[in-house]
Amino acid sequence: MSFELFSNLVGAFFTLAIFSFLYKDNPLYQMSEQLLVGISLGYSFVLSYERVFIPFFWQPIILKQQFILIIPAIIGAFYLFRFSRKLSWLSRYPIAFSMMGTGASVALAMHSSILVQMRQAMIPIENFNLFLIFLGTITVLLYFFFSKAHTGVYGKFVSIGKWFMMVGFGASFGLTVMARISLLIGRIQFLVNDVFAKIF
Amino acid sequence: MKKTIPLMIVICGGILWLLWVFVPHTIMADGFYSKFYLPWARAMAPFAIILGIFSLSMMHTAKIRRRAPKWQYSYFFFAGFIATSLAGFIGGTQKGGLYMWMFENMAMPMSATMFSLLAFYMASAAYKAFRARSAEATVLLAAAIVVMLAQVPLGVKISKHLPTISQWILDVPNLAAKRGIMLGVGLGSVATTLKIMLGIERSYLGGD
Amino acid sequence: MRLSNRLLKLTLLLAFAVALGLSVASKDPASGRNVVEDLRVEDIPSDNGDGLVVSWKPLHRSKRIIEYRIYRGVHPDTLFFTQAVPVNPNVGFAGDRMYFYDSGFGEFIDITSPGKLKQEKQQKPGSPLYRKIPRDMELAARLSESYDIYASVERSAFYKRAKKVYSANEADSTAYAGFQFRHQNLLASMRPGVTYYYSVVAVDERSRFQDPAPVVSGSPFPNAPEEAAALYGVWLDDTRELRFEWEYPMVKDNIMQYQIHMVSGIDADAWENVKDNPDQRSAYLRPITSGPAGGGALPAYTAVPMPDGIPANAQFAIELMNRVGSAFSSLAAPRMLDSTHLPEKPTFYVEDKPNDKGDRLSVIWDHPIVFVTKTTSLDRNNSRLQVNYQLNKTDTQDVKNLYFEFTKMGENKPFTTIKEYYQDMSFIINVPKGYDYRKGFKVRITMEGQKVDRKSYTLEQELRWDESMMTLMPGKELWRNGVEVSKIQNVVFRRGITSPMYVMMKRNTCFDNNLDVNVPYPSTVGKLVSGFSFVKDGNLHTYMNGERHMRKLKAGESRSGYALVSPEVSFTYDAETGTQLSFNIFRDEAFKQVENDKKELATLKSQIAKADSPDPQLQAQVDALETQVKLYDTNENVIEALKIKGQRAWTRFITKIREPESRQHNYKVVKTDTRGLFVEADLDVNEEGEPNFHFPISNWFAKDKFVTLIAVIVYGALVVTFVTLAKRGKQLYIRPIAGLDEIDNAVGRATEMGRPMLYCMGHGGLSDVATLASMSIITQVAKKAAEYDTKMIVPCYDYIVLPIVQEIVREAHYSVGRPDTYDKNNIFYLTNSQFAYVAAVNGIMIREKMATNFFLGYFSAEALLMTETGNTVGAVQIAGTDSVTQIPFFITTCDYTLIGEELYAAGAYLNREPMLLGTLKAQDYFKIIIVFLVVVGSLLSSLQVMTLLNILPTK
Repeated sequence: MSFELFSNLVGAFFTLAIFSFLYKDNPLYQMSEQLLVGISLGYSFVLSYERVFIPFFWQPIILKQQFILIIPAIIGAFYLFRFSRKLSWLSRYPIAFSMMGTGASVALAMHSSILVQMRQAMIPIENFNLFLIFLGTITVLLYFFFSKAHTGVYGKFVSIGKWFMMVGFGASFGLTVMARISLLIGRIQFLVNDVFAKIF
Repeated sequence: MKKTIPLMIVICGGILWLLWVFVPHTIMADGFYSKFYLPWARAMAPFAIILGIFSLSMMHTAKIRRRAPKWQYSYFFFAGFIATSLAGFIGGTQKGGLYMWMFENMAMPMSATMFSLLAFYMASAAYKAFRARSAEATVLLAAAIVVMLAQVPLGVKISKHLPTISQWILDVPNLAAKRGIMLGVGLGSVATTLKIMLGIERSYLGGD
Repeated sequence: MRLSNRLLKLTLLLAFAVALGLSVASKDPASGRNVVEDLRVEDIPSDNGDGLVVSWKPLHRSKRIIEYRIYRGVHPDTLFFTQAVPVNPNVGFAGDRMYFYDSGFGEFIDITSPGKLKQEKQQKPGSPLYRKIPRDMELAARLSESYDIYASVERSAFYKRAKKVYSANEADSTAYAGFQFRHQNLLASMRPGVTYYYSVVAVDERSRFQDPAPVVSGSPFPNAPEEAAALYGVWLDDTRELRFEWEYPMVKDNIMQYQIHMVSGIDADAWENVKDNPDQRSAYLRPITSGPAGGGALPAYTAVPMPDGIPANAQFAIELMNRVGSAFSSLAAPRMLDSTHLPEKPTFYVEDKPNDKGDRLSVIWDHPIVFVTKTTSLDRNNSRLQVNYQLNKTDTQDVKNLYFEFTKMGENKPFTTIKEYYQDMSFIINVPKGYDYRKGFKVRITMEGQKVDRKSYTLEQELRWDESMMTLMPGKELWRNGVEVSKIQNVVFRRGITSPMYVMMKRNTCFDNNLDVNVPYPSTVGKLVSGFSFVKDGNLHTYMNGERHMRKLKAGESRSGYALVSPEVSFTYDAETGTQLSFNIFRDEAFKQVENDKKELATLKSQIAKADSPDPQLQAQVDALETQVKLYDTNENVIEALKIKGQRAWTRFITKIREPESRQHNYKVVKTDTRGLFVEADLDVNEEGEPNFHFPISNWFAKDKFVTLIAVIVYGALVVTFVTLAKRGKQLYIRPIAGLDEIDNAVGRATEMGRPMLYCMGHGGLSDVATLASMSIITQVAKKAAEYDTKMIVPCYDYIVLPIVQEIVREAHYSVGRPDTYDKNNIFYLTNSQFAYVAAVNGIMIREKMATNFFLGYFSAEALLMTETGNTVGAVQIAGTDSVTQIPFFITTCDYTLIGEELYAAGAYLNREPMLLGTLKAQDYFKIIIVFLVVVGSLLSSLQVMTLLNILPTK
């Protein structure tokens, strides 16, 4: 048995184990599930050792002797105080440091998610389709207006937005179906071409 | 000390970051971001994953100790985790090593299969929408069917107008809905981040 | 229990089988033999003697090799890993031989190098193969005798961490700047004439090292260049000029000069036979012109006044020269033209890029350029055509309206004119009735904007039928003001403040109107390494210029090893005298130098005075030194520098002067047809005729974000207003939101059923705002759960989110007075691999028989997998996300779905805290402003008033 076929057999075994979940939860699936989580965690553990710990911790602090970075390293180590009952408040320091970035999100979201979108929404209404887009944008936006209940004429107007959304959601549903089916076909092709065809 | 200083860090740091957006000067772009923030954030990062590993290991240890239902399977978690870590640390992460082999022939097929299950789940979701018999679900499903059929040869056989309708759905109602939602999402994002930056929302810091 | 025991045994058996299979499969008898055959090392032709080409016969595909590792050394016993060439094991390598070009400066020692000498993996005892060269100064010193070493030192380390080091050679009193390994990257280049040894090892897909190939050796040698790839000539009859343009060969770095010769008395074929023989060819040559080539970076064109006695049918050849020899090109016969055939003389200006950190400039040589890129027929009768176009312009060039005039082929009057006041890069035209559109159209494009109007600037294209694309496509030609320019290139050159030579930057097509130039801030300082010093057994060793010196270490001398480089750096350029002044980075040494220069000048002068006859060589030396000494008293930068006290201030001042100067450039644009018809732009000079040197400016405010700033301020003001109102007790109405009202019931249901709940935050990190929104919801849900004493499981995807959620839930338990029921094992990290996460969550859902599931946060493809499983266990599901692609799946499979913004509003809605409600109200009122502006903006733009639209940012 070639090494490649052996590797593919292992792959096929776990592929089938996961597919078996479609029938019902079973020991094979439970085993693969736990293995998958274990392997993924181990994988990212080793990867962060290699790509985060070594280049951003070991190399600058130990090898390059940039001792100033000991401060963030200590703050980072505060994460581990979560396991202490008395000192768990220390873990708020690294959390606070990672929350700082929200300041940038305020301006960036305003810029790219609101103002740029507004510009795109202001295009000249030159035909009926553009009018529909305009109407849809406004009604969908008003659908999310929380200060007025959806009743009366206003409610009817706003519900136009709801229908726009439903059609839009349907479109994005429909768009993904084919991509997912091709994934399934890919798995079946793996089983058929790379495994069964080579055994029999 | 326990809560005020972290809050001050968030508020002051938040203001710095806000400045960073509006001040493209090299003092902010290089001095603050590249020379201070990046190395600091990266030097903190390695500890967080240790926290994650501890957390999951503790959960499984507790399960085994308590003989919780299906506790035996927790051994598989440990087996997978320890084997991969050892393989990576001892054998290295290069292609051809056991570490990569385990990833490529165990984790990848499982993940890819999990992903491909979506094809089945999508069918059942569509069926549910069909059963729901609400007007909204029907509209959604109808749009989905049109767009889906337009992508396959069968669709064109049913009606030659199908691709045109599908394109119209994508270009008009879909675009309008997306734009409206994105504008709302943008507003929500600004509000949420602003709340954190101003210290109005501080649930992430927990109690005292 | 019995059953599960049996299952356990079964699975353990299975695991054992897998392990057995793995170990059996790995015992492949073929291992350890597959030696690479026919390994050869040869000199790279036409280079300057720093390159070797290593080649070998690759192993057969069945060996499943994934990489070939190349080892190099200066001694056959010690070869270091140099580089690996990857191969796809499924396909193998297609050719008979594999080649590896080892040339120029390559990796030598850096921070990732091993700490000490390590033998390569899986080697037998006595194997000559080692891993990368270790961080060992003695070894580096020894190797430096066979390589040229270049140190790239981090900028701040160069000025702050340089150690003043003296050589072990007592005769050498120079102070060197010494750097340890941690401050620099060392690169090495092979030296001509030195013998290098190589071996190659194949590694198979299971990481097994095959046996190394027998060691072979080779030496690089400098060679004469290759001949020019092409030479083009043009006679310009009216201006009596000869113009040449040529193309350099592939390897061009070492080409120093060119010379163009007229070749007469021989035909092209015969020339090919004699051109490589100096004795035979010399009879036919007459030199016309020559110049520097600068390694192929300098202009590859020249113009000479037509020399006398040149026949009209003369042929020419270009000779490219380097230190070793030269090569002649094939013959080229010039085209007979006149100056009307020349392209239009380019005019250009250089502009700082706005709103950046100051590392980019634009060189602009034309108005914005607009051209049609493709067309699409919109219906089956081909009566409507969508036209896509592209607009190339800089950020500062404003275009108000574009006009596209379409004309039928063979007619002059346009049948339609499209005015593009909103430039969305496409428009639709109606094809005239009765016209077969396959005949094509002519498009005439004009524009109105800043500095450009419809009369002075037109672009024209032709749309022709393309059989393969089945549509009308633009032809290759582009007419600019009636002149066909598609073959014209706009070549940008620049020169620094100290050099008179223009160096080529980029060739641009006629569709470009500007070039973005990156002028980075210096981040490293590069220097050739003069030598290495290290301390061994109390002795200081210095290896320099091929000599080894040793002396006892003096008291107070550092025991560390150093790479020694010259501490001199260029300081400032004195434009008046054309002198480049350098200074030592050690202040005391620099001051010593100044004193020495003055003394030496005095001695030299007295020597001249004493001498009987004038010595021109000595005089030149005195003159040069005199200019320099004079600058010590006259150059402002130098005067200021010499006032400085303290080493830190000294280096700071040096960088302050030297770095901006190194980033100043004078630019030049040349239009050429690449075949000898070229026109240079006028020199970029100021009114006094001095060259303009441009450098980018670091901006303090991003003007393109001005509106954003105002919007943020307005939003902030709204928030403050409503928060104050809310605090004063004003009742703020919020309409009911279905999904959120159900949360209470959903928690209650779980309590009644005595089953747990699942709360999934999605797979976003802290940078996803949806995760932050979800955090404020979980605060409320956790409180309810704690109150009702219902178990809530939160599997986290991101390990930074984990401690935050733990903190939130713990706090929730404390706040409702149930700290005893908090179990941190219910909030755990799973993994940040998307589908592993789903697999585990699905498992948990089924085994714990969830009564209620919450999916709130950022989701992608995994969403449906979880919600469908949730459905099968009969859980009530409340979902919410801002990712538009997943909302449809939530809607179809969940009981309640929060769409987009509702997710963000949920925290405030549930909490009812005045501060949070205040922000929600502010959000609502800002929405009103947006709706109002969008309505007004759309109406205005429909009336072709683009003011409001143009205020908003485009990206």
